[in-house]
Amino acid sequence: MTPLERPTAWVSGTLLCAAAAFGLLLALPGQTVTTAYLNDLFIFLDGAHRIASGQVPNRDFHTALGPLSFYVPALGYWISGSMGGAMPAAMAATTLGLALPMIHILSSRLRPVVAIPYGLFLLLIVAVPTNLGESIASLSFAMFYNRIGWAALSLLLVLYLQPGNPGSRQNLLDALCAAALTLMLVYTKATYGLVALAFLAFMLFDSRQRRWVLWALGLIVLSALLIEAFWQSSLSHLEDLVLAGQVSGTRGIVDLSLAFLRHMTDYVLLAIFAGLVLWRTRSLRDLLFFGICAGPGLIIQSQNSQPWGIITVFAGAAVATEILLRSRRLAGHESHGILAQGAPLLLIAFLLPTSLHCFMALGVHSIAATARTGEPFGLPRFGELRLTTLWLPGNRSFMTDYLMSIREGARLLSELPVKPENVSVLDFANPFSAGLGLPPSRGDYAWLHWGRNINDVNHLPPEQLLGGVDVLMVPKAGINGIPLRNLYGTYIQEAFDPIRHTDLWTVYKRREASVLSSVGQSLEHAKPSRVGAGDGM
Amino acid sequence: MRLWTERPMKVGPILLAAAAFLALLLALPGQTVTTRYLNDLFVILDGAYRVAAGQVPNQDFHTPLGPFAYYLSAAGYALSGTLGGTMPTAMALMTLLLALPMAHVLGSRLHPFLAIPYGVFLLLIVAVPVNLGEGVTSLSFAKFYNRIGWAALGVLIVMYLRPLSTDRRQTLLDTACATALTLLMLYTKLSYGAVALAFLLFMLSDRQQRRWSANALGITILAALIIELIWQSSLAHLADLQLAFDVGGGLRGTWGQIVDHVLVNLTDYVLLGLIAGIALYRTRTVRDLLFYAFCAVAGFLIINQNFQAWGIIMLHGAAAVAAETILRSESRQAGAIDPGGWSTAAGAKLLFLAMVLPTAIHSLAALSLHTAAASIRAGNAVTLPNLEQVRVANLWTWNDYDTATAYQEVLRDGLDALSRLDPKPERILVLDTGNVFSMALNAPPAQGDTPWLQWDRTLGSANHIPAETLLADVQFVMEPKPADSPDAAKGPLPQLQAVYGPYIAVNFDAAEETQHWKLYRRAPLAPEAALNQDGRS
Repeated sequence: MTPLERPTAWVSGTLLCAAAAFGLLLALPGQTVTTAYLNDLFIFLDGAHRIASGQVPNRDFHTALGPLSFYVPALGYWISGSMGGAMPAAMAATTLGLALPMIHILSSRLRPVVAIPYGLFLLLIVAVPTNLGESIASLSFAMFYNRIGWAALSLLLVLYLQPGNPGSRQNLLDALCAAALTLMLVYTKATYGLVALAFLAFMLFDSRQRRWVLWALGLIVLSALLIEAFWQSSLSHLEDLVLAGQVSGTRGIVDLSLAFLRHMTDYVLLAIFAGLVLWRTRSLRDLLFFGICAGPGLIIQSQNSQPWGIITVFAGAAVATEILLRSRRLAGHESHGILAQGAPLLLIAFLLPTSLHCFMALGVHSIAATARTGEPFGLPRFGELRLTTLWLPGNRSFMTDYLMSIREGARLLSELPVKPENVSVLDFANPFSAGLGLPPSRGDYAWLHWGRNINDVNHLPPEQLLGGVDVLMVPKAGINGIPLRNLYGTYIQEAFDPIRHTDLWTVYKRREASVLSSVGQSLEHAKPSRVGAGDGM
Repeated sequence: MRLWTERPMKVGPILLAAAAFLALLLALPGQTVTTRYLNDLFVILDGAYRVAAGQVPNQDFHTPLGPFAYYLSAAGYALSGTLGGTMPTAMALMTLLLALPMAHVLGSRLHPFLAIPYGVFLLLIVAVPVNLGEGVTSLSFAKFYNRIGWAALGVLIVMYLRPLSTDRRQTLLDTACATALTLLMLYTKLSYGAVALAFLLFMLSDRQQRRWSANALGITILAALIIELIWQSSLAHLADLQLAFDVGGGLRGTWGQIVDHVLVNLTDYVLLGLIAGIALYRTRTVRDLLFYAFCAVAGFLIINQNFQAWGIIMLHGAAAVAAETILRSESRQAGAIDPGGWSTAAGAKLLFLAMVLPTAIHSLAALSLHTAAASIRAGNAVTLPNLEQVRVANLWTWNDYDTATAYQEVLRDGLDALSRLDPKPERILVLDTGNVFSMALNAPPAQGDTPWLQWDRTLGSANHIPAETLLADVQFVMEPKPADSPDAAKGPLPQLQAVYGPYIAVNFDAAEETQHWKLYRRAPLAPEAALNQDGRS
């Protein structure tokens, strides 16, 4: 036992310390600094706000993303106690949480020279507050679920290797880790979950590891049933997924080819690793495994809004390195294996640039957050959120203009005489409920992204989307306000009265007996509006 | 498997054969297929056309580019006989020419496992019709001189390594290669030439290699004097370079842009750091450290001047030197294998392969795409006379294709207007980046103007050739009309008009106006006299 325990302790210690350090770098300043994708950030602040107010994903609002994508920000909100601390704390907690299965999987299957660089790499992928493939100055927590998905899936793939020195609880821990990671993927973003399940099915063909795979699959089924017992929304989640799939599910051969060309470097390197391995093992299973690292990753990536980063390719490289080092040990010092002896250095070369890039971005966020760089969002509950540009090139006025319009919308809402009960925004995201501390809207979409989860063919009927809304904010342009207005304009004219109108927003109030008390108010703004002032009925 | 282990292998013939193969791929179809930067292509072809018409660079037209770039494209024009065959033939010729010093330098200094991939990598960089760092489908010959410069420099800096043999023949060939490469860079683009000269000076510090480096420096100076005797335009060239330098500056861009530019090349810097770090750990010499630092800094200074995001090929050259250094130190302590069963020498080979193989495959894919597209006559031929062998293809490059189509429409409109004129117009200047009309109409080019008016690159509001000089010999001015887009106001056209408009207004008469162009003809006499003449007729 003792000779093995020391390296294991090294791996565990290093990864745990690193996860804690990355988590602290993220969460300690308690601020969110962002330079891009403000609108995406609002989805998840709103999501945290919804969960904190007692809503349940897919039951109280529609979303094609899994429920965990909302519970994770909510966890961050609960830990930090502020909207600005929510996303950093959430990702810090995820980084630490992922470190636990990581320690077991990597230390039982990879030697330290592989486990430590690969583990650090995966932790940084989760912790970095940028969209993968973007500049270190492009700070944002947007699409954090993609990074969680990549890291968890790439960790799961390492289970392909047989454990080096199986202990008594090996199967149990393997099953627990596999089940936890798969469930995490299934309930974060379904595309990753499907690949994880396919991988587990593939693992059934390994007779020596079949036991834990079966246990894991059993655990997954049991958990899914248990989750459904509490959640009672699995079917409506599937419906939302189908809708999103109909809008943007399929990627043509052109998209896939272009994505492949963008990742040519990574695929060439994986091919070098795979070539070295297959040269020695000549195993069909190994070939299939590398196929699983290469192929589904490409499909996931082309689904993501992400310029670069098929992280499962790196999992293939780490596993290949371990296979080469093991086969060398088994075969002794043979001359034909000389090139394969360089695999660890090649792996480090493969992992280091991205790790360094992510670490720098993490550092930039920590410094910017500590120095309180940038302009506060300006909504009462968004005090710890800031927008800045750092040194990003190009015209960034799009984001600043968007923030200005949000501020004006917030001002309009807070000037309303009656506190709205259910504010909805006919645009990408709703920053107002969370930003002003209003009750979250109910029954609508967590976000509306034209061409991604809604288009003119596939969409909810207006009664369903806007049925419960009492105040509707309609932007003049917004992120994608115009096609949405074309889609729902008729219903809005029928069911709502415009009560305020500025250059950036029109505020509508539901025409209903129960809120007629505010009709007097709307007369106050005698300025006739272009839409529906007094027609109909 | 001799390649893996033993040194004696014919590197030279393999590289020469590879160069011949790549040259055939490029030149055989006799067509230029491009998907973007059509105007840059016309700038290049106009240069070739001018030289073919008997003009001498810097004597008869202004250009910051070295004369070799023009004579090379003119040679392509002469050999192929068509403007469409010009660039493929020219670059095929260049690939063959570069293979000669490459075969000697790499064969005499690098292990075959390094020499062959590195040599093929450099040949592909010259042969591929894509601006470095761009996608496989971004076919264009724009900025071909940058790729020549990188490849030549990539060969030259390998001479930092001491050759395996030190006989008289070696010194003689070393001198010849170093001289030829340095002259090539000096007369293609001076930023490369300056770095090459600095490298030769640095090589004087190596006692064993001082002989060839001193010889090369001497012969280079002598050759420059002889070239000046024949060319008689060195000072004019330097003046044009000074102008371009004043427009752009030594270190272009804001600090943020510079940081981002370094970060785009982060992977290469990290990999060089890794491999050079290992090599330095072995040799512990200050000279090696200085060499790697020189490559890292000088490479960035060059790319900073280029229109190119990624691709500091000097880093790859430095990595080849580092890898060879590791291999040599390893063979000195023969048989030593690191504990743990992995070897640094094998790692260095793989790491170097990882640096060059992805780009080599990427370039080979792009080159093959060009060959295939040219062979099946993909896309549409440019609908201008003499340019039938230039084809614009849509290879999933929808935006670029639309831009090119619109641009061709504008050109067609201008050409129709020019062809209607009688007598046949000649000595035409286009107030735009490039001039396609002279070559399309077979019209004699003007003297003293420039084929390349790129705002903020070859001229700016503070630094430009005065109108009286630039337009002295010009008979026709084609002024494009601004496009309808709101960006047009910020584009280069208003700036060019501000600089040259007043002179044109005084000395030229409006000859015709079309949808896209205003045509001006030189007023026959002084403006006052011209008025009188108009009155008479």
